[in-house]
Amino acid sequence: MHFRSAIKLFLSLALLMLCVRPPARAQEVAPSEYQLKAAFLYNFAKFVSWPPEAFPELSSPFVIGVIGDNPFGEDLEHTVKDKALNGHPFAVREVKALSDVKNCHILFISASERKRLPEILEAARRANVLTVSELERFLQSGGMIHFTMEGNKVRFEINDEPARNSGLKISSKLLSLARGAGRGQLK
Amino acid sequence: MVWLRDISIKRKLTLTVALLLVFGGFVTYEMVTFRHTMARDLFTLADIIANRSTAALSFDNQEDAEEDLNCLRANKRIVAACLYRGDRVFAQYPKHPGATVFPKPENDTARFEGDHLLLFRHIFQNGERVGTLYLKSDLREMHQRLELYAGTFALFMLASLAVTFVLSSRLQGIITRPIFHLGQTAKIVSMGKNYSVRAQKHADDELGQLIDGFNEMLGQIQQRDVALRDANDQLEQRVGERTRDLKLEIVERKRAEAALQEQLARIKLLNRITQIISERQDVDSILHVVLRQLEDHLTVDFGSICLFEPQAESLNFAALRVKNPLLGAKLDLHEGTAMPISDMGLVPCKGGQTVYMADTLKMASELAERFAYAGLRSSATVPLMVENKLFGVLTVARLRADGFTSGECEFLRTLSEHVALAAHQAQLHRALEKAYNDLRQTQQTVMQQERLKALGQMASGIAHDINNALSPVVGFADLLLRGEPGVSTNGKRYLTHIKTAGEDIAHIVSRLKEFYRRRDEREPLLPLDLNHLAQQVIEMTRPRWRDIPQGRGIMIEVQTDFAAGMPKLAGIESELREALTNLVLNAVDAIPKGGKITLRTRLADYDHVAGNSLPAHAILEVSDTGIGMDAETRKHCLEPFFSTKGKRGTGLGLAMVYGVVERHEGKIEIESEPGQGTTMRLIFPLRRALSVEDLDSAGSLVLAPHKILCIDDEPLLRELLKEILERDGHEVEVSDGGQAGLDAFRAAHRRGNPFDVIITDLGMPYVDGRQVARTVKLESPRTPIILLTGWGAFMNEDGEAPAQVDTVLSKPPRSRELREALNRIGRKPGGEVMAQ
Repeated sequence: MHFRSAIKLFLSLALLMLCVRPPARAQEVAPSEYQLKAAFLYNFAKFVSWPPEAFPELSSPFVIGVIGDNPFGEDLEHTVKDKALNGHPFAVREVKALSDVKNCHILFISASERKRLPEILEAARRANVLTVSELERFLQSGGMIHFTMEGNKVRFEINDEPARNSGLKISSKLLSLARGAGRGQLK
Repeated sequence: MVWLRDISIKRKLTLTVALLLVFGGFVTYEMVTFRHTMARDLFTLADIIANRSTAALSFDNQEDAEEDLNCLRANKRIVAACLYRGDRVFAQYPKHPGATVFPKPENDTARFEGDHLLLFRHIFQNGERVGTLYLKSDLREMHQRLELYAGTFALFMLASLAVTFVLSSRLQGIITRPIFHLGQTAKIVSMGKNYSVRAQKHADDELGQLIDGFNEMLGQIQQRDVALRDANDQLEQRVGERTRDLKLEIVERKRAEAALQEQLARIKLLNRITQIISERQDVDSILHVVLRQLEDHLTVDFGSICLFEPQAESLNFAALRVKNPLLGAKLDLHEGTAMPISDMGLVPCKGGQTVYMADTLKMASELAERFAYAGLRSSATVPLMVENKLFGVLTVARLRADGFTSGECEFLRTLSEHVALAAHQAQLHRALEKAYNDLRQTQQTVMQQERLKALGQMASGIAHDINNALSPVVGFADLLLRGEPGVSTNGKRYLTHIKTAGEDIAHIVSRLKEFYRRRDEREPLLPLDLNHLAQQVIEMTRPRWRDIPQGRGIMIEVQTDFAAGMPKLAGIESELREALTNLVLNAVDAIPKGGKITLRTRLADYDHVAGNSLPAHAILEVSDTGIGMDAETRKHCLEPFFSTKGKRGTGLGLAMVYGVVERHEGKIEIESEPGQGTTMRLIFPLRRALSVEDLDSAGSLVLAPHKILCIDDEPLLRELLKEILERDGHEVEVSDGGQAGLDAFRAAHRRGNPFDVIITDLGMPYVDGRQVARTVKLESPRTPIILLTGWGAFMNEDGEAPAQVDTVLSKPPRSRELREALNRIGRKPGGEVMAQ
């Protein structure tokens, strides 16, 4: 009996070793700027609440739109892959036409859209869209969240007012994290 | 503090332990509750911090996270805390990195480890785990609290002891002293039974009232004590009176009990007598036992039981018992003495009444006189009744006058019923036993006869088969010898041997048949003299009983004891001679060491039922002083093939004797015991014998030739018959079967030349001899028919011989028998042969 127990133990251990993969080395490497920003976009969704009318159906996707040149590559898709928010699966879309802006819940406005910014914000303002961009003076233009860099760390500023106007509620925790310049007092 | 001092050490210890247990329980409870509370508080704290730090964790903001942790400063208990992102420490408290070593994150838990409480809690945002919080709290506060409790307890103990001491010393004067006084008073009362003592009252408080109540109670008890003493005196007086009454009652009871005992003893006696007599079946024994029991247990001086003879109206003394032998001589009464019932003065017994003679001197019956003479002054006689008829009387007597109580008379009456019943039953039993024995004997005789009959039938059957097979052998040998020319001298000698041997076999077989054969009615019974016959046999067997044994030095004496004037017996002399010879030879064989053989003849009125005075039977006995027979041998000795002589005996001797005696309608009685010799007794009925003149001289006849038809399915026999008959000059035609025979018969009839005699075999296929006979007689009633068969003996016995058959002859056919038969038939009145 002892012999058989020993064999069993050995087999179990062997199986366990096969199952437990060595930890991916990739995690050790510091994430790139856009990988971080993609994660931030995803996290914003958790600290902002959208009005119910933003989701026509219970299973409507939570759409993260990217307008202009997509700096994330595949990172954004990887980040939100298989994830959902209150039952709404995440979807990433590259927005070409302005008329598509209002179908996004979060809209990342690429740096390439500097010229078109007023039109895009205009298109987003009437819909419940959280606008995010790294364009300078974005908040002053009426954008809601602006990415900044602090060394190699990603930080953000928030202009609360346009968000409230668009029916979005930004968590106080998020507000308290934003750089002091934000806090919605900026115009 | 007196009471505290008085309390036993055990009590003190118990008290202390109880106090300590309470304190221990309290502290334990406090600790458990406190730990619980601590863990809960810590969880609450963790919740707040976790909730606050979700954003910082989500957005990888270490500064904010550390800021969040920093608010733990307010809580001195928290010695360390950190936030993990994944497995990595993300923010820590206190801030200096490396100041504390943090464990790996665990699932939600709170546990005590050493002096610390550790807590892990996962942090979730929108259902997604964003990190883990770790808190480490020390237990200093709890220890402080415990010290506080210990101090408080000690203080409390001291304080309470002090208060108790003061209180008790104060209370002693007020409470304890009066109580002790009261206790002492109660002790005096209870020990000395002195109810006049009173307790002293010290104050008017509750204790004072208690003492008042106690004193009052004592007063009441004192009163009751006096009353009780009075009542006790009265009671003793009453008990004395009652005891006197009881003593009287006891005397009365004893008297009653003695009477009851007496009654019981009688019942027991009755029971015993009944039981004893119920075990016995013999009247005499029953009567004697009853008397003996009466003498022993009822102490009577005389007892008798007489049986009543209704015809003679007399009483017969069947059992008698006298205690004193001298008395018996004076009484002159004996068993067997019979006296008329009237002389005895016992006539009332016939009506079922008891006759009691209180004083025999004053009575005038013969019995009373005899009793009086013998000194028996009183007697009682009870009748024994069976079905309302007097069966007998039971009489007992005593020396003293008026010696029987009514109870004893009653007992005797009851006893008499049982005795009468038992005696009667015993009589019935005896009668029944006798009837049974008779029946059994009869049954045994019948069974014996049946067995012999069966054996005889079997023997005859065998004889028949052998005879059938033997007939041609002897017949043809005979033919060859008589008439065949050209047979050499040697051949003739051989043929003679064959014939002799064949005839020997036939002789043996005939002896076998003898055993069972019934006497042919036509066989003549001639008058013979048994004495003469016996003498003859003695002479004939002399070599066997004298010469041969003498050669071996053995002496055998033969005696005769003949009755004079024996009438002649009707019988067949040769058979009887052979039977007697057999018996004598058996007797010789039974005395291998010498002895005596007695032949005895006598007349006996054996059959006394016939009631005539003439001797009905002649008896012939052969007795020897030999080895005798046991019961088994006696039972079987008459059976054929039963022999005790081994190879020397055929087992047919006695069987033949039996057959002979049976044919003479006699009986055989055998008396024998092993070692006591044997007596064989032949008993013959006497009847009128035929005279010699009645008989023809058969066999010397010259017959006229007949025309004869022989029917037999066996060719050898057929041919033999033909040869024999033709030699006598008869005209013979043969047929090989019943139907062929009938055809031949009819053909001859039609030709007008019918057969004079028809000889037919009995056993034939299809149409047997019986049918042939029936048909022939139907068509020609006067034609005589001779049935030839090995079954002849049976047919005679069982009355099977068909009426149509004139004569039955057994196989093999002998020329002499055939001739005789033809002669008999020819002499029949009206027979066709007659004409010739």
